[in-house]
Amino acid sequence: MRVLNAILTHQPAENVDRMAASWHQGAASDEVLILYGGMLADFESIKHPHKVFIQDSRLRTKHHRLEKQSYTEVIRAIAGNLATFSHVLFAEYDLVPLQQTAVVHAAYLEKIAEQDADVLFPVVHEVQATCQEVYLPYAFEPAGLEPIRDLSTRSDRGTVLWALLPGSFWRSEALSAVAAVEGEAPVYFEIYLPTLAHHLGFRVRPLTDPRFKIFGGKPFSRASILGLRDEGSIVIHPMKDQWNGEIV
Amino acid sequence: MEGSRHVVHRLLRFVVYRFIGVAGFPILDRKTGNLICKVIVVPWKGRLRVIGLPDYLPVRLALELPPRGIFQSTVISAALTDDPDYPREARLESL
Repeated sequence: MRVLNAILTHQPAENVDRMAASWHQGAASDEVLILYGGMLADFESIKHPHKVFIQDSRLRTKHHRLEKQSYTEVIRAIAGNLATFSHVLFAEYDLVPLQQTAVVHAAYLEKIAEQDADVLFPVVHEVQATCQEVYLPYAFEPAGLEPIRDLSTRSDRGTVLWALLPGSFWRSEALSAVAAVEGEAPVYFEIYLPTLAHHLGFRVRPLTDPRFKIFGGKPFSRASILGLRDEGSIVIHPMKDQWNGEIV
Repeated sequence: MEGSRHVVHRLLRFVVYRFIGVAGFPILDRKTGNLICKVIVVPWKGRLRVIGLPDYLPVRLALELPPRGIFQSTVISAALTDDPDYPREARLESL
């Protein structure tokens, strides 16, 4: 089994190269794919050879939820680089591995087998008919979700999932199937991608393991890394400044 | 000017949430009895504004009849949804 580390970033080139080198420890040269959502000039300065520039304007939003930010082109770019990989670990720059890449992969592979899942998200909730903040706009505008429901293989077409994407782990077949869907519903990606994977018939489960410290809240500090690494934590998120200078 | 207004908003938000954390009404999960959060409810333009529900938690509100009562009334209860646990329906060649 081979795992592709697909990492979305918009940081300056030198930060990206530091990050790629960190993910690269113990991995083959093509196992780290940089997906770049920043400026083209910065992209061209990145030395890491396995990289893709994401052109999509729906990735570069300011008010992400209001403008319904999309990761669809990111997912399609990953699918285009999947040739020999059985799984994909999707990360953003602020997800930091605390162990060697092989250890990170082994932990994810163990969890996906344990759950018999096709996609693991660090956090995933069923949100239809709830007052969850990201879902609420679609409760009053259900037509936005219709293109997903039209593709559904499920008996209950009303299920809506919300998930945290950084740190998600996909079987290649599930990611390719999501990427192959033509067009795109006008839905924020944290709802669109998990809901689409579910309705295409894939088994979506949460990554329930305290060693994966992946949250949507207050960033971790550089000072906290050493203790977490010694405790056996696998990855942490969010940590915004890990690649700014000397790596902790 | 814009910056100072932002600071005032953040400060106000901090104070209000601190107040809710101490003096808000506890909302319990109707399935488990666990505390979900504390809130305050404010009548506002003919509607009820609920302040303090957590952003990311999938809280499902439901209208219920109380078991028995002297007055006609309705109970609004809350519950967190379960994690998705649906079987695989797609056919995978790798399995």
